[in-house]
Amino acid sequence: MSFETPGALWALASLALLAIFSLWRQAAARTVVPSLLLWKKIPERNPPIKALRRPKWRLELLFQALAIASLVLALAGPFRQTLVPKARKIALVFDTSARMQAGGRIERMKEEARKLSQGPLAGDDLSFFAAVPAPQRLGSLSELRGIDAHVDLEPLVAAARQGAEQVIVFTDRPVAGAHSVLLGTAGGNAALTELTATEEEIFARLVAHGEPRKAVLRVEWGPHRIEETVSLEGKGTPRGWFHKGDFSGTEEIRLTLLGEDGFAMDNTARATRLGPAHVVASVEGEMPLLQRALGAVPGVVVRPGGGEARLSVGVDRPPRKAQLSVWLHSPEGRFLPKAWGPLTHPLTQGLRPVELGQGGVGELVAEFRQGEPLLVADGKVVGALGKGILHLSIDLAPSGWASTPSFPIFWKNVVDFASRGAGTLSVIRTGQPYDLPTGSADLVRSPAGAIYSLSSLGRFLAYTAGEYVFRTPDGERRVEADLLDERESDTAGISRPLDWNPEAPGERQFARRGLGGWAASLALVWLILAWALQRRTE
Amino acid sequence: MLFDDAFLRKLETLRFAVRRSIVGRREGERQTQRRGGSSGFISHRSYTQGDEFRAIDWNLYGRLGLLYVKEFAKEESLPVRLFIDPSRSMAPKFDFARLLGAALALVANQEGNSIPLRELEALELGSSFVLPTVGRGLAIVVSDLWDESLRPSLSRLHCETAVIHVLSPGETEPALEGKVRMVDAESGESCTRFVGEEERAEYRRLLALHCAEWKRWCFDRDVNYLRCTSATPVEEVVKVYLREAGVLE
Repeated sequence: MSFETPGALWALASLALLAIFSLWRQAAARTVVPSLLLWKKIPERNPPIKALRRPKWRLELLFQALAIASLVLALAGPFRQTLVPKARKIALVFDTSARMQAGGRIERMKEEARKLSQGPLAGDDLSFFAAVPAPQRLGSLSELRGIDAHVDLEPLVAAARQGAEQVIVFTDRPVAGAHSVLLGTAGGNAALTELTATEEEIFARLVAHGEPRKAVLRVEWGPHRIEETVSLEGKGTPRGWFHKGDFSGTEEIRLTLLGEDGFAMDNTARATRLGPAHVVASVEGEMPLLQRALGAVPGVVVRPGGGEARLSVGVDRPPRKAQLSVWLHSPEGRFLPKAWGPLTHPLTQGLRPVELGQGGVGELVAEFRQGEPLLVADGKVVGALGKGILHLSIDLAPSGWASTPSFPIFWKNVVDFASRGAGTLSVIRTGQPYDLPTGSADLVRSPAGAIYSLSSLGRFLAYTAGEYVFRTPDGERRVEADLLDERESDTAGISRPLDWNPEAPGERQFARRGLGGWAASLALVWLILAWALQRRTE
Repeated sequence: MLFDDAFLRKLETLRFAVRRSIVGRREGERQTQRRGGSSGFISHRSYTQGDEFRAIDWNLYGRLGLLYVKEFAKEESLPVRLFIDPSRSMAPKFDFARLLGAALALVANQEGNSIPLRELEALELGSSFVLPTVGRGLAIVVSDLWDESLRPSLSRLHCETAVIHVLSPGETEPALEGKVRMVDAESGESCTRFVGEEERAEYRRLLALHCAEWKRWCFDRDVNYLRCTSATPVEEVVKVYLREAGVLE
């Protein structure tokens, strides 16, 4: 018999305490005497030391000692070693990154895992971890699927290690701190890893792995199409490519890397304009500084006196209905604020509190304080956003806030918030969030079986590459989520079987048969016997 | 056989030694101060009408010319009452007490009493011990005298009384050792003491005082007091102790 915690056996020393205690408190032997007449006249005294040296070993004391000994034994965790192999807790972590789809490696990972679970890991307690897309524990291998984005394995391995003795990662490159099954495939992949498009220029970054080569890049926008042969250095060296032109009227630019390779997902990229190229802002009320600040924002067309617009501003009067309306109130009960609440909203980014309160502010009336408080000065709500209308109660005199740098910064924020990049050529990447223009939070169509999320605030996050269709204020817009990730461009990886022999004698532990329960039961029995005996004696 | 032949023969030679005048109903062997009878001369008295004619002392009449009647002591049986304490405290010495009682009953019966031995046999341990009022004769009380309420009962016995104080060896030399919870056999009351040599010596001293007190009490009331232990053979108690104490002769 062995013990899990032999140190607990030191508690057997408590038997000595029991013996000492029993010396002091020996149960009096019951004796019937003909009369107590004389005994009662004899004064009571404590037992002399001489008497303590010769304790009477009673059965009751023996049972108590046995109960303590059994309890200590139970606490020490006694066990008997068996020859039955102990089930190890092993976590199998799968790399579901986009590149693993090259060469059918997702299915190969499943197959390798099955072989292990039915072979050397049979009888072990296996758990499966993968990012699909969030890092999580899978119920079974059938839930495993690849995603069209990069997966960072580090947090996944860390999570898997929490409850496992061994971690085996299925991927295509070595992972520190874990055993791995490496599944490589054909190399030589060429990929588009970056795309940006402005009104005047298209910029792309390309990369090829393996040998240097020439690749044909096709660019399409509107009725135009060009094809250009690009020399790629190979071995993963990236190369930039740009094309200048007038793309101001272009709704969509599409790049395609022609030619066969084993991984087509990173051969295309698209930039899409999700709204009109210009933002029309209508301003009602006399406020020249405001018109100048708005006019300074690129792509903004200021239309004084109102009219149909994406952004409308009303100075001391209700603004017209628009994607975003701003109602500027002359402050009532004006005060110079001493402390401002945190400025974390996109609309307040870059603003300096000392400039905001330079000319004084006023608390919004209760009716306009509803919604999300944006500007809070001295505990009073000065600005609030609710139901598409932003209320502000700040002095706009030329010598106040309007004369500070925070003023044009604020209106730049307002335009960005109202348009949300609707007028620019946007590129959506898988695995990275993208804020859709206001009013675009309505997805009409997505690829079959696509993994994506779309928040109520219009934040879109796709894990499946392909075409998505949104309904915007300007009609339906098609966007394409592309991989565009250099980390996923090298599909070759390394092929290597499991770098750990689960069947090695040193790796195998044998099951222990715990005897703690028996010892605890025995302790209970001794305790009951001691108790019963004591009752009987009394 | 309760007793062997030799002891039974010895019992036949024994009789109760009585210090007081006693009056019995039946005529027996015991000589009393009751006038009459024919055995021992006691005194003369003047003749009165009705006296037996043969009782007149004619020799005295010849010398004095007066009629005197001779008076003789009357031989009567001695009523003996035997009281054995059956209380629970007597448990360790009850058999001894009954055996002693049987021996005394045999002596009493040969003096004209009729104490049935069956009653002794039927006596049960644990019943209460009550002494009735006895006017004459001899009362023999066998008890361990732990019950202080016995004193008034004994005082009410207006007759020759002998108290045989029986103690068991466990009472005279208690074998208790260590921490002991002692339970009173009579009342069930208990007390716990550590008993060592010191306590045992103190107990022996208190017991000696207790016995001396009873002896003094009996002496003051003209009561015969005899102490013995139940370990002593009954024969020895009867032949030696009781004779030395003046209960038997």
